[in-house]
Amino acid sequence: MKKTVDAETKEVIESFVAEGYERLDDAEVQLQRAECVDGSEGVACLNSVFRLFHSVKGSAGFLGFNNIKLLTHEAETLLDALIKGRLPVDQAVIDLILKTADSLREMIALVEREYSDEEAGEAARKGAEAIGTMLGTAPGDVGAAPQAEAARPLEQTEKAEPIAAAQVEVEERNVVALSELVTVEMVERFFAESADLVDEAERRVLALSRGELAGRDAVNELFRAIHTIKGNAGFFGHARLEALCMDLEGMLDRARRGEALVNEAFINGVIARLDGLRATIAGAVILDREGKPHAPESRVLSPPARAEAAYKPLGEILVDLGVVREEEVKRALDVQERPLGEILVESGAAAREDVEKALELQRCAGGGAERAVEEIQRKEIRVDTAKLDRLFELVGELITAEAMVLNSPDLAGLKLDHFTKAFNSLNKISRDIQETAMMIRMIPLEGLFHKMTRLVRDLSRKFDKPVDFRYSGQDTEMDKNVIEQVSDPLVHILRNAIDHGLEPAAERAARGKPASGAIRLEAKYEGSEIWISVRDDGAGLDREAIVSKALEKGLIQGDPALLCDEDVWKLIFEPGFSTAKVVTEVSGRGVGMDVVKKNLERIRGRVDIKTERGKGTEFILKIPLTMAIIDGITVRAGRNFYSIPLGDILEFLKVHNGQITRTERGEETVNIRGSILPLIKLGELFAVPDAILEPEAGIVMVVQNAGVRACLLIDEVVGNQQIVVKSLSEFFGKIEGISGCSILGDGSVSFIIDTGRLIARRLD
Amino acid sequence: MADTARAALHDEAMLLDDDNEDTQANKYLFFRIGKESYGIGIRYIIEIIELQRISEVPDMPPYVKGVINLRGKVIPVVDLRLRFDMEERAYDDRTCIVVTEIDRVLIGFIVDTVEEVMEIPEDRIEPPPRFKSVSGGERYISGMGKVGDTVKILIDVERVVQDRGALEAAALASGGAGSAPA
Repeated sequence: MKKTVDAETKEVIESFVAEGYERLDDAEVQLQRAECVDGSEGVACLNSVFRLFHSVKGSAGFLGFNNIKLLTHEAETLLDALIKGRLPVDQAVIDLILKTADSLREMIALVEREYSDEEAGEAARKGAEAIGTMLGTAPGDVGAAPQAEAARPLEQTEKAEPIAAAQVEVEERNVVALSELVTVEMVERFFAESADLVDEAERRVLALSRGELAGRDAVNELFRAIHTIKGNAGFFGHARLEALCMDLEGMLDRARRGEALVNEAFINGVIARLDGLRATIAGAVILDREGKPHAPESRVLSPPARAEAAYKPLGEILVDLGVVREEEVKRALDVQERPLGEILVESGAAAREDVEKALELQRCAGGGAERAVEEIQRKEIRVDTAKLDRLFELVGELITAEAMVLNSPDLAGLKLDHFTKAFNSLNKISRDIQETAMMIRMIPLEGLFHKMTRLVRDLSRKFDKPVDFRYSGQDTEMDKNVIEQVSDPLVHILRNAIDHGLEPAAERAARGKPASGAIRLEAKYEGSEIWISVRDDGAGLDREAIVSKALEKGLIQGDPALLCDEDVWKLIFEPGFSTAKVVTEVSGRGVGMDVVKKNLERIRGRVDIKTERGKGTEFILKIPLTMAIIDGITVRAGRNFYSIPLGDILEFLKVHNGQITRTERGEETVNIRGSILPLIKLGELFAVPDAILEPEAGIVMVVQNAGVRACLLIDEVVGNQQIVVKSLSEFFGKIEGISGCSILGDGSVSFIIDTGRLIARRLD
Repeated sequence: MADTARAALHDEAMLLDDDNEDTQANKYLFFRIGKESYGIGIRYIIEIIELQRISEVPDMPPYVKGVINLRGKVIPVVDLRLRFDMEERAYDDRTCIVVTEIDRVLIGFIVDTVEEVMEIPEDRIEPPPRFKSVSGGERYISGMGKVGDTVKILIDVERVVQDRGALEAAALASGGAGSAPA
């Protein structure tokens, strides 16, 4: 049942859901790595999985999602056993954790829908039981001991006296070390987010001080923000930040429980600590894997001395200086209504000059903080994709409108030197805007490749075929919408590769291949396209099997021996085509490969197959870099305009009658420098009224697509321009040979030609 | 005259945009095809524009005239005269395109001339006559509205465009032959 929640809680839950998904995804990646690597690196991976689960647990606990909390807690227990070496890291354990992650994902989905995880009680209990069973089988297991032990290290630090903890750990250096798991981008994002959170926290404190917010709620909000920073700091191994957050958390927690008064002094203390956090974030140094400081251009580093001098509460400095004992500070803090220093001086616990000296020290660190405020630079913001789409649309309209201005009939025949100059600079700017707008929507393929890693792992287990899966080019960036279209095809190709491509173990051994089948996923830029290839070292496609299946299904007629290999391979993309003798659980029903073709067509891409019997198969998805704007040449036939992608055009020419040969059925061919090319009359093909049908009277355009060349007869060439692609109204359904439309400078509509399909309308 | 009438109608249509469904319920935009007056429910109407340059789209039945550019949106236009199997007639300066939005798709209808917006209460509407269909074709009339002594024909516009069977058959007949898979 859907729980009703107020807007603010809803927001918190939504961010919990988003983060939860992200964390589980990350955890999955780390888990799979943990499986592959041994020793300390493997432990490091498990540790980060542990932290990710812990973060989910923390937020779930805070929001009262007890089932999620329960299951994550159990997962932590299991992970702890692995980290401590009480349980061997084997496939069964990793499987169980992955399964737990899946259940958690389902529970989070439930939260997303209903704002509550109450209905997940059963799932949580089952998951916990499964983990319990796994732990129960662990050698040297002593009842529930591992569980208690697992929980201890964390609770210990959490429950520890905040100030004391801060004292110990604040000595840690202000650094974040990069590792294989932690990239500069991640750390930068973490710093930016933390800075945002600190800002947000400060706003709340200030509101609190102005009495605008109810105390309890504001403190809760603050606590949440700081807790998030702490969690992340813990993940990145930034001990100082973690300690500072813990200190502040402790202070807020006391206020929350009503043990400390929310008064002026409290607020000042919080603000001062927030400044300390900010200074630490700004001063943090990122160490690369060799331990050298990594300094991105946008982050100005404070001198090391400054960076070290992070904010400390006055009481702590006094304790450090040996002026007062800790208990005295605490006693003073308990009665604190006025500045701490005054109390201490008054009670005789400290001399005035000592307090002033300490205050001076504190100000020094504070000075760093002030500068730091300017140094934090936001590197990224979150934007609603709907806004991006709108921006993109507007840029398209801008380009069209610009062309309308340039081609305005009012300007015809005028001498326009200044105008042209001004227009050209305007044009350059709008092109830049266009390019930038496109770049904004680009995201790296990394996320998609991670998902595929998981898929391959699952499939490899399911078919009991060991797979050595590697990918490269995950930094390649693609339009977000395009990535969504590529995901399904990749799933189908990988399924096929593992199910049908890779031979069973015995067969591989007989052929002298390694036991593990190799599958490579690779992405790269290739001209104006992005190529994503999936290569396996399996059996390769079986021409005979495909041909006989195609004959059986009536997909081909005549002598199959005449078909070239490329055409045979293309048959597997036909709907319902499958050569699999056994329909397995995941592939072989013949759905799938046609999805590959359909999705790629949708993004104007294509797919090539290279295969060698016994050696393996490679599928190459070729995707145009942009699908929204193309370079094209616009031509006229009759009253209508058509635009043809520049890449498909070879040449334009005038022909004379001697070059034309008519066949017995009235089909015409053109002899161009010895090549006989079929002539397609655009006007005739599209039944355009008043179009030129006499080859001599019009222009012949030589086009090429997928290796097929043809001549296209048109009335005249209008011009060469960038074309903003619009889709045709769904009222029309699919029109063979037309992929969309565009609006020309003078406001007329031009139809964009899909050269391949156009040729296919007329030629075999 | 046509222009002023059109402007007035346009204004009214715009005003109605702000009104709720209830006040729009029984209002119709009437236009003329041949001698008869036809009406389309006002809630479908986006605007009325003069005839524009139409680009022909291949593989369409004769009544789908093509597309026009409506301020950057490329929308299909259907000749209602041809849709109703009436004789084709040359367009003139009274010919209008009635732009409608049906099921979130913008479609323009070419009509001989636009007349007026009028309210016809439910009790003044009779069901369509029950002739046997001669051609076997679908009927697109939702009712007959009585206004004084005259009778106006109310069109079921969703059926006019959703009857895609004919459209697709036509597309297949004219263009599909060459593209059938080998």
